[in-house]
Amino acid sequence: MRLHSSLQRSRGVSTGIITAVMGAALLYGCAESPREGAGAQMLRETNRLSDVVQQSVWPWRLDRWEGMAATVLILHPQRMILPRLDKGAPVEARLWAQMDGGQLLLRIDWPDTSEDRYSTAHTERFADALAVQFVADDGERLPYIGMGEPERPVHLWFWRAGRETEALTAHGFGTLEPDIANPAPEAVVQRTAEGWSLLLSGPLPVQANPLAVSLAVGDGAEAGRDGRKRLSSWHLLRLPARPVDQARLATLAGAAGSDGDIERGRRLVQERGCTACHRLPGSPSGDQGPDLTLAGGMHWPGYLRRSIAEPNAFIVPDDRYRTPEAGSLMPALNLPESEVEDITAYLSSLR
Amino acid sequence: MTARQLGMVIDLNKCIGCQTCTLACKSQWTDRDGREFMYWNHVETRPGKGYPKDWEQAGGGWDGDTLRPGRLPRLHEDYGYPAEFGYEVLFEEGEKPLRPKEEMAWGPNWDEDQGAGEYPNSYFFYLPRLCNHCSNPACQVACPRQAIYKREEDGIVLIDQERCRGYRYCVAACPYKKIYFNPLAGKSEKCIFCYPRLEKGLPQACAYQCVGRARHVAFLDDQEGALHQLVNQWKVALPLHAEYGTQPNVYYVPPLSPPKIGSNGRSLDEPRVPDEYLVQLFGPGVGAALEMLREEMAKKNRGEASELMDLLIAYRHGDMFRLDRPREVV
Ligand code: SF4
Ligand code: SF4
Repeated sequence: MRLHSSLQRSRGVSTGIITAVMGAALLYGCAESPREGAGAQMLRETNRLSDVVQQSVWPWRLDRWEGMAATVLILHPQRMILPRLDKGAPVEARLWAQMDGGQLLLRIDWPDTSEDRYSTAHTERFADALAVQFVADDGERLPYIGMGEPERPVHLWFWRAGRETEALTAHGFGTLEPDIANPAPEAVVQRTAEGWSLLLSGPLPVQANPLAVSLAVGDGAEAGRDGRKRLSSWHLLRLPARPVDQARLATLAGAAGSDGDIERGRRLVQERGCTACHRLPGSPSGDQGPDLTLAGGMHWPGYLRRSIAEPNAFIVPDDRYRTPEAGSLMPALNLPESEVEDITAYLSSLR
Repeated sequence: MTARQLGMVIDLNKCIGCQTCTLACKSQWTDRDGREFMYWNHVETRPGKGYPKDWEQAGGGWDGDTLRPGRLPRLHEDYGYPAEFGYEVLFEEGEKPLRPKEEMAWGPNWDEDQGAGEYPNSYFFYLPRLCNHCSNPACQVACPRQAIYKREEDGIVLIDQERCRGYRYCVAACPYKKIYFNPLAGKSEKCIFCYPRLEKGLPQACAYQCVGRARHVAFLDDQEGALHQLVNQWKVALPLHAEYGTQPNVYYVPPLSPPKIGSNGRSLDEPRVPDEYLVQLFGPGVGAALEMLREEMAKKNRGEASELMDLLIAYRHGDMFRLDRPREVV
């Protein structure tokens, strides 16, 4: 019962994300100083940063989060890499984060109308799953959202209904393997009427502050596994009681937004030929490059800006996107900076 | 294509459906830990739905150079789960029969000996099936984790159990449905062509234990080997469903059958197993292969020599296996 009322309350505030995060700051009074830098402010405005509160909530139970506001993350169907999830609406997950000593506690609620638990009596079924992805380093640029990049590994907490949790690590799509450096998280889970409510806890897998995380969920009912999942973009968690790398925050803020003109960008993707290779709203046929119909839901503007300006900077790990010489299939367009910015703004608006 | 490819020829005229191969494999590799329902090797009766049930309708394989979608067989309905028996009833009074505790719905030889046709022209034959260790394996390409690999030295297709995360794209992609998901382990498993035996110079258990001497094993490029001779020279051994595009390396000598019997009780000039049916399975080479077999059989019957018949008869068991490896046992 108590869980339910808390869910309701947080749904109430979820419409105003900024209010929600500020609410948390006021409630616990342990967020950073209110006169924070413009960078952090920018990150908040774009829902890319929230504060983790320090609080002893032992024993860790799902009903101990009363009154705490959640961060709302939208998870979009993964469409960049095969196998992908071609259909389906985005999912709205709510994330609560706390530190208790050196332990990170994440509670994640997400809707999923069918309860799909792992079954040893079936060979054709898939279980509902959730993964938290942590950027392993404190680089000034966030790695690729899909399992990191070569030399930019990610750590993962992985949960599947009816199976043991796992600690995993990856450095690019298809490289997922057991994480020997971190223990598997503890899980407390509750099936609610509308979905799952899951509490994962464990020692911080990464020491960076801010800590970049993202969420992915797989729905057993749609044979969710591997690339067939919904994925959020990177989100920064500012950890309590330890120094924050302000310079990094400021740099990351530069990747969080774009002041380009969305409408001009919309026209430019046609005029500059982007739609010949990329799938975009209204141009469904491009399949030479990654599907961009949900680009803004999964990528930060900084990633998109860099990919437009320097196609070879990072190539989405799929053989179809590479030439035999291992360069990007996408030509360098040498667009004027303003056009790059307009296209960035337009792509960022797609979610 | 790998440097070398080991393959198998199964002579359907010699297979008596005894399932010795099935049990040789099962007792060696799949008798526990979530593998109970798996038969890496099984013998199905054709015509029939086979195992898993209706596997030919389950998709997979290639459509040109793209993978054809496939579906995942269900444990109870399509594979069939080995039944538990309530042995207690044997110690109780009365005449209660020993029955499976749960109703079974299917099994690896559920429609055994049913076949098709009406008396006196009913017909069936046995089709032993195992992974084909294909040269263009759909299973390997379907795996996004590159967990499936094909060994360079003998073309054996294996699943790296460390890399497998149980996504089952391979199960859907294999048109022969010869990859099985182990729901206890949460990983996919398949016939390993008995590589640990091969590495000791021993033939595959299913081939070695075959009481009918129906199975030959050799490298395809071994000119002296049965594979090259039966497949390329005599052209009597044919792949199963070559149209699936995976380039299978298990070949079958198609079955001859007695003539059909007419309404007057006389034999007709038509085999009991319709050629069209065999063509569906083994392709257009069926007619010529059967003709060749008939001719060579006739030679032997006349007391003349037939190299082909001698090869198929396999007077010496050891001659059926050319493994090019140190041989501890012959
Ligand atoms: S028979 Fe199936 S499992 Fe075996 S190699 Fe061919 S495609 Fe793969
Ligand atoms: S080769 Fe070995 S593993 Fe494969 S079906 Fe035969 S006995 Fe089983």
